[in-house]
Amino acid sequence: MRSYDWLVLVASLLFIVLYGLWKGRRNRDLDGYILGDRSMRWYTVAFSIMATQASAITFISTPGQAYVDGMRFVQFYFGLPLAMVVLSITAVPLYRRLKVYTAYEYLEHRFDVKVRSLAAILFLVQRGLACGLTIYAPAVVLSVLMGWNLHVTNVVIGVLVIIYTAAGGTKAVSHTNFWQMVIILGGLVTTLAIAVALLPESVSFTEAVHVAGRMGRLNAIDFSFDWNNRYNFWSGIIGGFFLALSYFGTDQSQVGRYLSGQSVAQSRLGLLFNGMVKVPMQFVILFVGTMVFVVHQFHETPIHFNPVETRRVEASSLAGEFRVLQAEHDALAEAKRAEIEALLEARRAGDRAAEAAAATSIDSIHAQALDVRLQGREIVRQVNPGSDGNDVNYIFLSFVLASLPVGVIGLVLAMIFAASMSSTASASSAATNTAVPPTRFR
Amino acid sequence: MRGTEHPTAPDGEEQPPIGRSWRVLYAVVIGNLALLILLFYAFTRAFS
Repeated sequence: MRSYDWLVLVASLLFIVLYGLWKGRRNRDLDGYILGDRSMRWYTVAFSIMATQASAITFISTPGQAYVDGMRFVQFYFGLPLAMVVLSITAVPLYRRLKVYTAYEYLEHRFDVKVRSLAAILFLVQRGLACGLTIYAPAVVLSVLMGWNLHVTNVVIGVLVIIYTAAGGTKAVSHTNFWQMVIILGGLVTTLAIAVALLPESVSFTEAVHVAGRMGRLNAIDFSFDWNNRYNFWSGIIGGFFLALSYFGTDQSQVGRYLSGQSVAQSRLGLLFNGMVKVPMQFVILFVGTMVFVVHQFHETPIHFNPVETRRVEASSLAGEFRVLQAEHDALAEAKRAEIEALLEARRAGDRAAEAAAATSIDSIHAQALDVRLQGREIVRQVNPGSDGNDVNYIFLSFVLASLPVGVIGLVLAMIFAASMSSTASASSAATNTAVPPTRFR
Repeated sequence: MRGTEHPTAPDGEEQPPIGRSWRVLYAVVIGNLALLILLFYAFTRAFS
């Protein structure tokens, strides 16, 4: 990582912390600290909701998911817009009418303080554990790829979040969420544009999409009803609906976002905006992964994307076997590249038969390359039984570090930090508000 | 100023800041989802 990357990363983090402190400097009472004086406009509510849901893992793992499994994961979000409509009609006016500070306070109105306390404790335990993972998971990936100290990375993210969240409360969280989301979207669009620009000159964007489709990476919709298929239209619309309903309707880290809206109308519009843009946003994140996949079809790639595990294998007695697999993988990649070029040539010439023959050949070579990768993964597991051998989470950042220009690497890392900090800040703020004894609200 | 920004409808419900009514906005969100699903379906079919 060059100095320009550090400059972009440090400037982004400093901006977020200082902006959060500045925005949260005038909290006079609990209303200000917990509800941000109910002063947020709909776009701040919307971006805050989106930034809270999008953790760093969303941006590290999701492109990797598309790389190995295609775009079918997008269906997981189909129930979300429906849940946004239901919550706008039911939960938003209800919470506002009762003037509650937290979702669990409603349970006290409806039942008694014991039910409220139970729900609040469950939330604190569950969200506390999730919060730890929200920081830890990206820190593991960053420490492996960047060589950073894992503990220092955890502490840096955690301390930065605590500084502005503790000092500024909900106002600081919501306003910084807005800018974190701007950084995230900026990083995402820039990465997609550069991934497309990295395609060989002879391959157009449409042809790249065609290659991705031919290789099974554009499987965005699957209407077949199959209990064993995790991601299809039905699991997305039914499971996704109830998941989103519970997450956005009862999890204080999200409820707190729209309780800070200026009015019922502003809170509702924030939720509905999220319902409009969440699915396309996930589509773009997955599409970045498919473009990285296509770019990798024209370049040499490692057999395993986790460099720490690779180094461990290279220092073991199985290094020779691993090198043979890498050589086999390289040879298959070369053969696949030739077939992809043949497919595109046939497509340009309108030769359907040659195109189909090349596609069949690509499928066969790709299956062999996948088998070689799985054998490499098995070696990783043999050398380090503590590892599951899965390198999906390392694919996207490996691409970023190897292929993106100076400055943009810093922007992508800022995007990962922003995503980690935004969801952690919302969860921390929600945990704080939930932990306030009920008597303090009366 | 808030009163002018968020006028109240005759039935006591706040008008949406944009759009004619909440029902229209809900329909837009659901219609947008339906359109996306259709586009994704066409996208999947076109490039498979």
